[in-house]
Amino acid sequence: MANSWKEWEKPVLDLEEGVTKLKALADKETDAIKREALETRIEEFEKRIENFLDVRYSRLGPWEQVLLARADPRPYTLDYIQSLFTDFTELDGDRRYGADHAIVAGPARFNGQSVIVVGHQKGRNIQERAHRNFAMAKPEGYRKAIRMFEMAERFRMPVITFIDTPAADPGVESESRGISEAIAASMLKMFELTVPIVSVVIGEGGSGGAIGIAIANRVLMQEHSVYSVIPPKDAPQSSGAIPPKKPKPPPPSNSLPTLPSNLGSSNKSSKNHLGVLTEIRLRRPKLFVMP
Amino acid sequence: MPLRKAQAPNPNFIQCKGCKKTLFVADFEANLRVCPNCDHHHRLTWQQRVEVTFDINSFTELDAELYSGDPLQFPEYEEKYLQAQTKSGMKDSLVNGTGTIDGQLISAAIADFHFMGGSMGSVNGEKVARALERGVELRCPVVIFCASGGARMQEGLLSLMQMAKTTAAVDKCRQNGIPYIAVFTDPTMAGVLASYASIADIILAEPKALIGFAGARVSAQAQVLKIPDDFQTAEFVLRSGMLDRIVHRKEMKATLGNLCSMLGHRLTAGAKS
Repeated sequence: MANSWKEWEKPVLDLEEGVTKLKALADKETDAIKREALETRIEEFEKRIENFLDVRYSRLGPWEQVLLARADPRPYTLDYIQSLFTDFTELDGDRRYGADHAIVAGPARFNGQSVIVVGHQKGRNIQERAHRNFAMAKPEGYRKAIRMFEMAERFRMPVITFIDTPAADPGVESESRGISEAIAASMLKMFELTVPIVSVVIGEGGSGGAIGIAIANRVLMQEHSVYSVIPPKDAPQSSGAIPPKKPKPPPPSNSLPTLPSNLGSSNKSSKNHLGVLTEIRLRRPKLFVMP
Repeated sequence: MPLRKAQAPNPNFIQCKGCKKTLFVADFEANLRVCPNCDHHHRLTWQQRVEVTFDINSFTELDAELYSGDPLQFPEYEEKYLQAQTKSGMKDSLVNGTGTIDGQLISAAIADFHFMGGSMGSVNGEKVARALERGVELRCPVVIFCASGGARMQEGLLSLMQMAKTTAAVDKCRQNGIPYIAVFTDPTMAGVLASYASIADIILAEPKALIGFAGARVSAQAQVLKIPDDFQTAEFVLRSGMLDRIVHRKEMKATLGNLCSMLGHRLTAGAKS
């Protein structure tokens, strides 16, 4: 079983490197005939890349979908905010207990229209990940979101949420401050809003942590993202596929037993979307790379 | 060769799951399945719950015909589901209906942990939502007894969506001024806790009930510090400010009756006796 999406992207990266080299050569080439030959080669290579990706990405298994959903070159919430919105002003604090950096939120302009943006934020290196708590929000994060939703209602601003979390934070602190209540209250608040809400699953939509800010008039999913009732590694345990009492070193990341084949991954060939989603937004895997 | 016949379980006795003491079944039942020695509240089937909560013969089960499909073709789901049905005589892990407490009409839902861990799949969620909506329709208070390990894995994303659906139903109650009381019994976990259960107007719990978002093992993995001894018990949750009150099973009926009549003082249907 693959450990990372990079395993099957490797040949593509090699080919792409080849193409860049060829292009450099072609640029330097003065002889018209030779240059034409080179350009044909380039085209050929590009076609091969295209074909390879088409074939590879139409045959992804459920685990590969999960790996893709977690791939770190994917744009995260702040990347989307940077490229789609203007004047984003991040606001922090739940006015009750503390600040949570797994969820970012604040007002912004979308095509000139004032909106409230809320989304999970992952990190790209160790420090960032620790700072963002791996996008696993604590109760403070959801209570901050509730604050934002209330503000959106007060000032008639549409809400856009980005979903990208493995799950809500399961630690003792979160339990004692009421992570369940925070998620439920956040959903309840979203149901109460009369302004329009759009939610986009941009990577991982992990269980309660995801749906806590994903009650919307339109729920979209990026291609190769996942939305599931439980993080994949916990699923075999909770469904009884693994007996619970085995001595338990945490399973190595590549030993994933019997992943249910339909955990709720999205690709355009998925036959049913269970009526849960409004739409799946297609996005070529190559476009993962940020602008 | 079996010589000692006495090893077969004697139907007149039962061992307490808390203190392991052997108890007379008759005493145990008379004490509402609470251990007279250590006060351990044993889990109840939905029938037993009805018996200890509602006025005699007042409870009518509704939506009894609902049962779940297997939308994901999840391995072994159908077998397990049918097995659970045969064993429990229920169609799914939750029963809803109407009954009276001290003569006061109540719309109720009662989860039964014995059916696939009380897990919330499409049917469980639908019945919770209908119980809440029935409160709006009949203008009577809603009481939900929670007992669940969380969302039902075998229905995947659809189970997750039950969190949204039940929350929407609670919203309806709120908008219509219908009081909604949740009672956390052992155990109330995960998806159920993070949706309709936690947003009740009043939340009661039975003593020592297990209440939490993530399994204790998951929390332990996420935690560097030692987990408190009473982590995720009703007492811990009460101390954390997430619970209104821990109520002994013997006082549950009176407490519910009182709260419903106080909160529902403006409701007309609730007054009939």
